[in-house]
Parts: sequence; structure tokens; C-alpha cells
Amino acid sequence: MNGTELAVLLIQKGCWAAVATLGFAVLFNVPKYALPYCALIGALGYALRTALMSGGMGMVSATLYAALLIGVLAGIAAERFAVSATLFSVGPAIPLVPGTYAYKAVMGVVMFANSPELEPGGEVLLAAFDNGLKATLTIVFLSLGIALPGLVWGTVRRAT
Amino acid sequence: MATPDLDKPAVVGHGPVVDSAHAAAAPLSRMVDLLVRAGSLLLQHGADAGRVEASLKRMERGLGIDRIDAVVMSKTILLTATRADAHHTRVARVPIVGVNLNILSEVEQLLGRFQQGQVTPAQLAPELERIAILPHHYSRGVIVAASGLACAAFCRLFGGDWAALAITGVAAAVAARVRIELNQREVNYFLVALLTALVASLLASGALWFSETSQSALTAAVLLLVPGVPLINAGVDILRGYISAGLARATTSLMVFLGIALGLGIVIRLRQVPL
Repeated sequence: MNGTELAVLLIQKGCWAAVATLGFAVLFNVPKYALPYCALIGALGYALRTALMSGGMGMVSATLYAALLIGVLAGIAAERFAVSATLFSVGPAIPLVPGTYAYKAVMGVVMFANSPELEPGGEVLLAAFDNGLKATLTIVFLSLGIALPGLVWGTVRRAT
Repeated sequence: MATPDLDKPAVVGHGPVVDSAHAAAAPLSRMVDLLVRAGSLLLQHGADAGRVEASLKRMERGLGIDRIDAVVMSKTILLTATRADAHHTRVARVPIVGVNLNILSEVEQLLGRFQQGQVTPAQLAPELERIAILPHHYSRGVIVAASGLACAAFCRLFGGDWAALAITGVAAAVAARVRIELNQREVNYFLVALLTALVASLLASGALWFSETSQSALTAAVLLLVPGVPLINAGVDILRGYISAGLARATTSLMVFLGIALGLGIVIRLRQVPL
């Protein structure tokens, strides 16, 4: 994939991620003035993850970087409006939640447990395990990435 | 969670500077009610345990309390306030209402003003009640449409074509409406997940007739059910050391995923779709 193609892909993905972010921000009752910022932060976070993953990085670590970006940008927006950073971080984080991985993992486990005899290759179980691990670690890194900038900022402010 | 006597002024002192002598005159039980009210508002609208506890600590000095010990779990707050040698404890069950970031933000701003002395302890209770009944910024129709739009966007992100996108949007919007109805009837959370996933995937399986990428419609239509905020909060809780709250949220989320998987699984079995 050359540079232009990648840029087009990132813009497309970013725009759709912005739509998804907006949908969840409305569901979570984010005030109207914050919606454009949410959409922008959501688009940038998702685009960063897509870019890193197309560069060969795994979903787990790519999500950590994207979440850190969301956490930092949400912190800046929150300072500007003197409100809580969650207003700007929760909506953008939702498109990064590995929902499909999680329910595919559960589905695989149910299929495995429900099969009458032990499956010889073990592929169903392996796939479920893979999906489940990816989902779990992605969630952990997502929450870490979002919470970390706020925790660091709070500590720095207390220290000064 | 009704605390009817809270709207009466608890303290005589007014003005920007918090008068702890006056604050100390108010009964400790009323202070505890106030703390529990603030904590419950945060917890039931999607705050993590650490934020709830930190917010309670912020009220300590302004209320003239020496020490607050709080245990915040996923649906319960246990709180003891100590002043001189008197103490008062309350255990509050907190019904989880759903994520409402506006209320979280308003409560935190109020506590910030309280810490700076711009709000007196007497004003705190009526202010909290005002925040509790703030109307939702968006009407139910807008929320349903937004859910549909969000899932349609996910469908596109998973590589679905325009037909799949349209069907996902409709399926997710109908499912969002069904979920509101079920939650209003206080149906068990696992059944809500199962039934909503069933409706969403049954409608989304219509994409089998119209779209080349019907799988993306089926995968995306149930995503409105993914417990995003509880999952992120579970991670944050565990990271910050609130293990019991975090594990409770994680387990609840796991059961929701089981509900989604079963609902979707029924449709997949019924329609013979490979996923």
C-alpha cells in the first residue's frame, strides 16, 4: 500500500469512527458543545490505531497508543472547558472496544463446550482463546491508556 | 434513594467562606446522606470506583468532617463519616441507571465549586437534586437513531457495503428501541442482552438477501449491546486497586457477552450463516 492509498484509507476509517463516536456520545448524553470535539478525538484515535496496525503492529499495543492519544486530547479539551475529561474520552474510546473479538471468544467457548466429543485439531478452542486474550488485553490497555494521562497530570499538579 | 429532608437548609452559615463551626453543628447523619447522594449519582451514571471515592474525599473538609471511609463496589456504597469521637455509617444500594456523562460532569463541577467555597454546604443538597432531575439532552428518537447510525458506521468499518450498512442501521435502531422498553420493565440484564441481540441479528440477517457482505451486518448490528463503559471502568477499577468493583463489572460484562453470543448464535443456527 502506498502513501496516498494509506491516507485515503485513514481518512475514510476516521470519518466512520467519528460517526460511531457521535452515536455513542449522544447515547451517553454528552452536551452538544462537546460533540464536535468527541468526533474529532474519536476519528484521530481510530485512525492512529489503523495506521499502526497497517504498519504491522498488533491490535493490543496499537490500542494502547490510540488510547493514550485519546486520553491526552480529552485532557486538553477538559482543561479548556473546565469540565471532566470523561466527557471527551468515553465516546471516542467505544469504537476501540474489541466487541466482536469478545463475543466471538464467548461463542467459541460455548461451541467447544457443547460439542459431543473432543475436537481433534483443537482449532475452535484455539480461535476462542486467541479472540478472548486479544479482547481482554485490548480492554486493559484501552482503560490504561485513557486513565494514564489524567493520573499523571493529577500527580504532576499535586507535586507543583 | 429518596432523601426528602435533604432540600431543607442544613446549615445556618452562608457566604463564600465555608464556616466549619456552623457545618459542625449539623447532624452527622445528614452529612452522610449528602455524601451518599453525591456518590450514588456518580456511581449510577457510569463513574468508576476510584472517581466516586475521590469525589467523596473532596467533600470532607467543606462539610467539617474529620474523616470519610468509603468502600465503593459496583452497586453499593458503604460509608462512615467520623467527626471528633462521633461517627455515622450508611450502606446504600445504588441502582445502576445507565451512562450519563452530563450528570457526572455536573456533579464534579459542583464539587469543585464547593471545594473553592463558592457553594455552601446548605446549597449542596438542593444542587444535587437539581442535577439528578436534569433532562436528557437528546430525545428518545434521537438516541434510537444515534444507536442505529453508530452500528451502521461499525458495519462500514468492518468492510460492509451500502446495503449492509442500511440494514445494520435499521436493525440496530429497532434493537435500541427494544432495549429501552425491556430496561423500563426492569427485565434481568442478561435477558435484555439475549433478547436485544436476537432482535438485532434477526433483522440484520435480512442482509443475506441484499448484500454481498452480510457478515459485516450481523457482526455490527449487535455492537450497540457491547458494555463499553462497564468494561473500561472494570479495567480502570482493577488498575487503580478497586479489585472487587472491577471484577464485578468484568463478570457482568462477560455475562452480557454470553447473552449477545447466544442471541446471535440462535440466528446463525437458524439461518445457516457461516461467521
